[in-house]
Formats: sequence, C-alpha cells, structure tokens
Amino acid sequence: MNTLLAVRGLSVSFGGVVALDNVTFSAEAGRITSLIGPNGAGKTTLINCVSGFVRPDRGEADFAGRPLLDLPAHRIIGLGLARTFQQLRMFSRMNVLENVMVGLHGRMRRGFCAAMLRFPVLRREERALAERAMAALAEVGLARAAGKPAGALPYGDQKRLALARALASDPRMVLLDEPVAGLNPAETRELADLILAVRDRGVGLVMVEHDMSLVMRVSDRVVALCSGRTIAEGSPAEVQRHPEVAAAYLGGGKEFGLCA
Amino acid sequence: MTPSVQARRFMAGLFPLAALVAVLPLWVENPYYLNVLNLTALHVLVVTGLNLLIGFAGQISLGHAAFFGLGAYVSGILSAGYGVAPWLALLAAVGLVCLVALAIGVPVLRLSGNYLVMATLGFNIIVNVILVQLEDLTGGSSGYVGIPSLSVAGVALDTDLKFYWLAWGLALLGLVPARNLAHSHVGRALRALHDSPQAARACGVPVASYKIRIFVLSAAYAAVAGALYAHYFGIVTPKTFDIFKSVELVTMCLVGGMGSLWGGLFGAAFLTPLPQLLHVFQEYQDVIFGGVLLLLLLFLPQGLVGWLEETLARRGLGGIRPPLDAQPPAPREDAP
Amino acid sequence: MPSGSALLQFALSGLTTGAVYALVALGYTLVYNATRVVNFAQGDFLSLGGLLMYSLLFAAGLPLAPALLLALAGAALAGAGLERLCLRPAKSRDIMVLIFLTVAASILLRGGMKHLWGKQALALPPLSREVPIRVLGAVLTPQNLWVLGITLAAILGLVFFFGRTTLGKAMRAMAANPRAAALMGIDTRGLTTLSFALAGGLGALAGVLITPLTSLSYDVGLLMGLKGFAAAVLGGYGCFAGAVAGGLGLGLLESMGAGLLSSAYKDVIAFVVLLAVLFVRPQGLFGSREGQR
Repeated sequence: MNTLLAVRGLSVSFGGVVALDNVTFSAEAGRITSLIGPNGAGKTTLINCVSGFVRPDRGEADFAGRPLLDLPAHRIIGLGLARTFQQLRMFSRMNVLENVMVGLHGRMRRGFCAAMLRFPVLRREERALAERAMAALAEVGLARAAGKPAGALPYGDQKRLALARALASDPRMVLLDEPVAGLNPAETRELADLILAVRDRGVGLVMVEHDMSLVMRVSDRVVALCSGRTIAEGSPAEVQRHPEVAAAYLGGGKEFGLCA
Repeated sequence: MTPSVQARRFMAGLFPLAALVAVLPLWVENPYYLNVLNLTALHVLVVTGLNLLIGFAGQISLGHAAFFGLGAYVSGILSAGYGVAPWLALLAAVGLVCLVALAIGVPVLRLSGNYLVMATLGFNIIVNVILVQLEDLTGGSSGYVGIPSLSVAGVALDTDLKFYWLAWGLALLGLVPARNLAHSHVGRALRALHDSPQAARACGVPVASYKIRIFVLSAAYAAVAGALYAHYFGIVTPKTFDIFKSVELVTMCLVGGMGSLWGGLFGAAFLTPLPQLLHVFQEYQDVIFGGVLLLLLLFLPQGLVGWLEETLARRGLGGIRPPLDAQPPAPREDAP
Repeated sequence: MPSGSALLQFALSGLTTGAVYALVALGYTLVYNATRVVNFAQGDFLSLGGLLMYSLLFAAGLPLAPALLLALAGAALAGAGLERLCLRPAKSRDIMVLIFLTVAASILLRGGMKHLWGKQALALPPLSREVPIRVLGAVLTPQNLWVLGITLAAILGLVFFFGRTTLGKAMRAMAANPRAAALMGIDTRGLTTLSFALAGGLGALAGVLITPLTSLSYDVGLLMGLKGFAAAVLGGYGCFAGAVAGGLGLGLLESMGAGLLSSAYKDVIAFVVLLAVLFVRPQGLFGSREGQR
C-alpha cells in the first residue's frame, strides 16, 4: 500500500447545491484508480479540488505527504501531480511540440528578465525541454506530428496530445478527466493500452470515466460516487456487484441517478 | 525552426531596418517629415509593449495612452517644475507608471479579458480629467510647457534630427527584449495562457503573476515613450493622451497583425503619418480614416504583416513570426 | 449640509440624466446579448438621433411626432447598417476584431455626421414649452418629465416585447444559447441585425431627450456613450434590469457627487464608479458571476 494521493472529508457546495459531501478516498502510486458515477456525482469537482481549481469548504487532501488544498493551481504540477481536462483545452495557436513544452514550464527556473536579456543558459534549457517534449510525444505516438498546429489534429490525436502534455514533466501521478470521451472503440483500445503502459512504468493514474468496459479493463481500484458521496470502493469486480452502484446507474427500484 | 534560427531571422530583419533608419535622414530634411518620423518611433515603442500584452497574452488595454501620458507629464513636470535632470525624471516617471499599472492590474487582471478593456478605458478617462482639472500642477487643457530636452553625452537633443537618432535607436533597441521574451518559454507561456488559462495553470504557468508582469512591462514601454515625447516636443496637452489615442495604439497593433512585433512596427509606421496625410482631405479625414480601418479589419484581420506572411508562406517562403498560426483563433475559453 | 430642496434638485436632475444613461445602457445590453460585442458606436447613435431630429424639424419642417419617429427609424437603420455592413462581412469572428470594427464604424459615423452637420453646436428645442414647475422647492422643467416618462414607456415597451412577443422571446433564446436557437429555426442573423437596430433606436431616443438639456453636436454622444457604458457595468453588464438600475444609479451618484463634493470632477465620477465596480464586484449589481476565475 503506497498511498500517494489522500483525500479526507472533502466537502464542496456551489450556491445551494452540494457537489461533494464528506468524500474520502485515496490513490496509490503505480496503480490505476478509477472514479465512476452518474453525471453530477462530483467526479470532476473532486479532480478540480485536488488540482487547485476549486476551493473546498471542508476537508483535507495531500499528495506524497504534502498538503494540496492551500496551493494555487499552478503549483500542483510541481509536486508531481499532473492533470488533463475533459474539454481538452489545447493551446490551439501553437504546434504540437510547443503544447507539450508548455507542460514543462515548471522546469524552467528563470523568468521575465532572463528571457528578455536572453541569458545563454536559457538556450541550453530550451533544448533540453524540446528533447524531453519529443520523448513524451514519442511515448504517446505523436512524434511525427510535432510541427503540426495542435488545432489541426484529429480528435483522437488531440486526446493523446493532452496526455503527452501531462506526462512531459515526469509526474508521479496523473489525473485523467474522461480520457476516452468521444473516441471510437478502436481509439479507445489504443488509448487504454497507452494508459496501461504509463501505469506499468510506475506512474499512478486517477481516471474519471464513463466508459465501463475501459474502467473494468484497466483499473486496479474503483471508487463510485453518487450525488457527491462515495457509495462503493474496491476492486472493479467488487464495485460492479455492489447493489448501490447498480441502483445509481440503472434505477433498480429507486429513482434513476439518486442514491440512498 | 530552432530558437537560434528564429533569432537570426529576426536580426536579419532588424539590420536592414536599422540601416534604413540610419540612412533616411539623408533624404528627409524637411523638419515636418522628421517630426512625423520621430512620432512614429515613439509609437513603435508603445506598440511594442502593447503588442506583447495584446498579441501574446491576449489582454486588451484601451488605456495605454494614459500610461503614455503619465510618462510624459510626470517626466515633464519633474524636470521643468522641480528641476530634476531629464534622464532622472524619465526614470522616475517610468517607475511611477509601473506602480500605477500594478495598482490597476492586480485587481482587474484576475477577471476575464473584457473587464480589462473596460477598466483601462475608465482609467484613461479618469487620468484625462485629472490632468485637465489639476491646472495648477499640469497647466490644464492648454497644456504644460517649458519641458527641457534630453541630452546625451553633453549634447542637447533639441533639434528634430538629433532627437531622431535617440528615438529610433531606442525604438529599435526596444524591439530586442520584446522579441527575446516572445520567443522564450515565457512567451510560450503567455500564448498558452491566452488560449487556455486553466490548462496553462495545470502546466505550472503562474497565470495571474504573468498577466500582471506583462501588463506592467507594456506600461513601462509606454511610459518611456511618453517621457521621450515630453522632452522632444517640450509641451504636453491632455488631449494628446485621450482614449482616441488608446484606440489608435491598439489599432496599430491590429492593423499590423496581433502578436507580431513586425506587425506592430508596420502598424505604427502606417497609421502615424496617415492622419497627417489625410489632413489634406480636411472634411473627409475621419471618414477616410474610419473607412480604411474598417476595410482592413474586415478583410485583413490577421493584419498587414499577417497577410504578408501568409502570402509568402503560400509561395514557400518562410514566415517571420513565432510559430504557427495556421488556424483561425479558437473561441475564447471565457466566451459563454 | 445642503437643504432638502437642493438635495431634491440634485436627485431630480440625477434621475433625468440617469434615465438617459439607462437608455444607452440598454442599447449596449441588447447588442452584447446578441453578439457578445461591446458596441463602441452606441454613443454615436445618441448624436445621430439628435441631429436627425434637428434636420427633420427645421430642414424638413416636420411636426414633432413624425420627426421623432423618423429620427428613431433613421438611427435604427444606421444600427442595422452597422451590423450588416461592418460586422457581418468580417472574415474573423474574434471578439476583439469585432469590437474594433465597431470602433471603426464609430469613427466613420462620426466623420459622416461632422461632414453633414458641421462642427458647431446646435440647439434642439425641448419637446414642449419650457415652463418651470416647482416641486417642494426644487425646479423641474417639462423636459425632465418627458425624459422620465418616455424612458419609462420605452422600458415598458421593451419588457412587453421581450416578455410577450414571439420575436422578443426568440431574441432571448438567442442570447441564452445561439446555437440551440439557430437549430430551432430562429433566424439568428436577422435577430442580430434587429438587436443593433433596436440599440440604434434606443440611442437615438436618448439623444432626442437629452440634447435639448445639454447641447447638440456631432460628438455629444461620445461621453454619454461612455458613461452609459459605465452605467451598464454598474448594473451588471449584459443584464436588462441592471442597465436600468445602473443608469438611474449612476445618474444619481453623478448628480449627488457633483452637487455635494465637486462639480469640476463631475465627469470623473462615472469612471471612478466603473473602476470601483470592477475592483470590488465586477458583475455589478445584478449581473452573474461569469467571466471570473
């Protein structure tokens, strides 16, 4: 048990709506933990809290022992925790390589003055950055597209680019928000293989997904949320059999989408 | 294209321009034209900073004339009213303008881009009214006079030609750090935060801090230009620094091509003499100016330089600007 | 401490200009809701309305009511023309380019007005004979009442239009979700043009009402346009109720500020309010929190 990401008692409400209600969960290094649940269950909100985009009302979260919740969003990646977005959020004005290089921004230690005066050390650092970015692109199979405008890539490739951007800085864990949404079965399979390969080289993954077959196939652990609360936690098979999970997704006597 | 190749390309463009600037006074002796050229140089300086803000960081300011004006007035008043040496007055003016820009930038830059337009517009108007109302200090609407010239190495820059060298020297020099910034990881981060501030944050870009810094930097450029203006013309009036000036400055960026430093230069070079030329047409001046602007924005939204680059690219010749912009801008993330 | 009647005087004059700001702010709101564009030519519709009214009354010799209606129609036409000729053909749909297209249109429009009507100030007569009315120690003129009354009528008309008519509801749908509206068969392009036409009409109405009290020239609308903008931000940019509340509120703040504090800095008040709102509560009084990070 090597817990990397630990969340305890997280609660968030927006206006009067409770998005997360006392959620506790953890994700281990080198394992794939999936977050499932109907729409509105709070999965993306959980990701947003942990990655610094939403301030929770109550609760704690830490990553490798470092507290997360008092950090601004741009400091999170420095801890080794990267993320992707449900809506991609590509830098469409730039080419593929530059998109990934932005993912490495934290590696550059110098700022405005050094950049304006073009300190020689920057040139070396940029070259190193470009090499590292190409390696990340190679890992996701996009190396030949390095010079293309990011906006011109087909959707499936853009999803991979998002992953490359997150992987570029060699994070210990990546939060994936619906990585295969909108992909066809073949693309889903390819991305699944990629996710497994990333896991196999020691990177922990927390994956929010709706695609159940993917979740069942790749996950080491599954956490099910419904209406902001955890309703089940365990191996994929255990969670699948859990009565509340079935009820949340399928109805089963209770109203669709609502939980006990 | 590696950064060093890009750098060489830029310098390749810069040297001929510098040569042109150096040689131009041989033909142009008419002080009126020199005057226009000097004003163009000052505009280039402002527009360089403004272009970093607009073209790279994607933040629009309609208040840069206020920074321009504050630079002019503070430097002018300090030197003419309080006997401060002109160069020191210039430095003090730039420092003060940076502080003011910080004061406005911090609260407003955390909001989406639309709000910055409104805030800078409001700021510009306030500065204008204050300049007019504080008559005892600023001379009111008739202006502040008696501003001394700058001197370099003991030589007072009190003629159009002498000032020409300083103005264009600084204008061209000012392009270099701007270009360096644009092509660096910071420039990349700025473009990223323009496209998607959220994703940029997730990549470790300190979005709020960078926005404020680029805003202050662009204000500093404007302040330098303003101080130079004051010490050249010797007189400053509030009307020169009103919102129309701000609009004119942003238009120079747009007309030349957003995010292209050469574009800003061409925009300034094109739009500065234009009103003077149109003066001939008297009555129709505004109509023509507005019409030209309209047509340019309608049909060449990528700006003159952008259009030039696209034409060259189509013929297989390389581009001059930092990497690719083959796609039309993606819809803004904050657009509902 | 000024007397009660002085305060009342300030309040009344504040409400009068406030009503005009409200009309201008409504113009901004309509355009913003249709296109997300800030229409920098809004103030020029104000000047245009006044100038058209002037010519229709004196050059064409028309009686009051037809002149008013034609002036409004003329400005509405200008608004529609702006959208149709200056915005729709644009190759780029980038918001900033569109905003600057309205700036270019504004320069063009002002240049045209300067050319046709000259630079000198003109005097537009008030809508009825100016007989001072005394109310609790404050002095009103019938024009004040006309401004307040007609503005109220215009607002009620807009409320009816957006609440009860199909066309109005279609415009609201378009504002909420343009793509969905288009898919429902709503002619979004036509409605966009209509929004601009209405904005032109509202601006012109503001011009006809206020210029008898101030003065009339080709650029009178500029500052009013900007203040109307500040009013819209105060109330909540893009929000109908906000435009009205912001307009009246700004008018009162300005009037009170000028009367009680300093009249020299009167013009600054609107923009100090603007900055204050943006610093403290950018969504204004009634706006929603969109656009904040």
